[in-house]
Amino acid sequence: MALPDTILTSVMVHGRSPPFKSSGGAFYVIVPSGLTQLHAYKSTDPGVTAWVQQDSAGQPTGSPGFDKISVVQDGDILHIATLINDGGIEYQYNTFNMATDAWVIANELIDVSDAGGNFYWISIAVRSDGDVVVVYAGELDRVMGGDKIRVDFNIRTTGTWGGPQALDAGGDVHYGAPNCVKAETTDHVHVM
Amino acid sequence: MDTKADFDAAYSFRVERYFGGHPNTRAEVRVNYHRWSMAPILNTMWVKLAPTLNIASTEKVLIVGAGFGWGIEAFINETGAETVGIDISTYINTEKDNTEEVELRAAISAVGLDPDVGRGLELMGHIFDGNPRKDASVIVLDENMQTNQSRQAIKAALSNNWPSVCILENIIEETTLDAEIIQVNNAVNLFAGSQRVIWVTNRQSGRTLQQLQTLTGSEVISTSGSVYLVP
Repeated sequence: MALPDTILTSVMVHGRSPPFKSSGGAFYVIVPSGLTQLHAYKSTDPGVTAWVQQDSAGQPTGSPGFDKISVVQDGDILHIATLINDGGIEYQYNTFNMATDAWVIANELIDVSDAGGNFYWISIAVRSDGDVVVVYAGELDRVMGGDKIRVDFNIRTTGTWGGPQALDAGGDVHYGAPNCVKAETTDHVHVM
Repeated sequence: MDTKADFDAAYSFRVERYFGGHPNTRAEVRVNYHRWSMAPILNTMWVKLAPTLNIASTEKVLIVGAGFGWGIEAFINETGAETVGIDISTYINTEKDNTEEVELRAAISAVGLDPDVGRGLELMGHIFDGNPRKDASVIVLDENMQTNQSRQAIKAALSNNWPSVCILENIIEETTLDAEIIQVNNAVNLFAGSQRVIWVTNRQSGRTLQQLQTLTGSEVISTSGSVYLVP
């Protein structure tokens, strides 16, 4: 296999978006392009066959741009949490179906936040019943004039987000940059 | 900080995320300088600081910038020392004997909820205790220590004892001038006898803790307790 295999240039988004393998044996990556579009690329044999963008008509868009991304696989569905930074923060949920090569959900609002600076962040996990769990930097508290970073979780059940809930204990301290993963054999979602 | 607007700007806390969340179609109920949000913070602070400061139960303590006295409650729990507070803020002295009901109802109404019905009523049950802001067991005087009369009033509140420990609790802001700090530091040293003078401060004070310690010559401790400087 030839390395490196360029998929897209000028990607400046942080987060977790590794390659995924579909049930059909193809490989996919989700990559923000030019910050304002979220692309899905497919290669049947990375390094040999080209990475080809899929379903550009249905892709999520972001203005002024995507800033963080977290992707997790559940069968042939890629669940993608993103955040758009336009001064405030908007967290969104998207899905891409690797069996049909099509976007299913694009730009679905999860929550908004006033978390700024380098502190905003989101991470996603999917439970066996299909519920989607995200943890992220929620709205700030303010103590004695100073912003306090907070961590929230939000669960999507049967297509509806339940609303942000605090994962931290509040107080005069920061909580930041949460990452989550579902346990392999249970539906426990571990958060760090 | 002086007015309610000053306190609102400096303190803002999410509420609903601790009680089941809120829909993303409306804003969340937030509160400001209220007991539900502030008392746990002050309690946590004094649980951390008291062992470091090692203040005996026999001390007579003055806390400057005592707000509604929630920190005093925590301080007494930790030290057992007779303690009085002073605060000259207009907001504190206007509201200390009132309940928080008007402000909390307004906070709930501000996001479109009815504080007497459903979710709004439920939230009121979580954040409103029905009591005056300042607990009856706590003394918070509207005194500034600048005159003998003011200092005598503080002495009287301490069972006719001069304070042996003076704590300046988070009264420095980004815009506070060195001259203002010195003025307060000098004032607490005008009580008869000798006092321990302790500045409790955080990173929003516009100066390092070492700079504050050099400026005042007093003890300085961070609100987290992680830094403690002594003369």
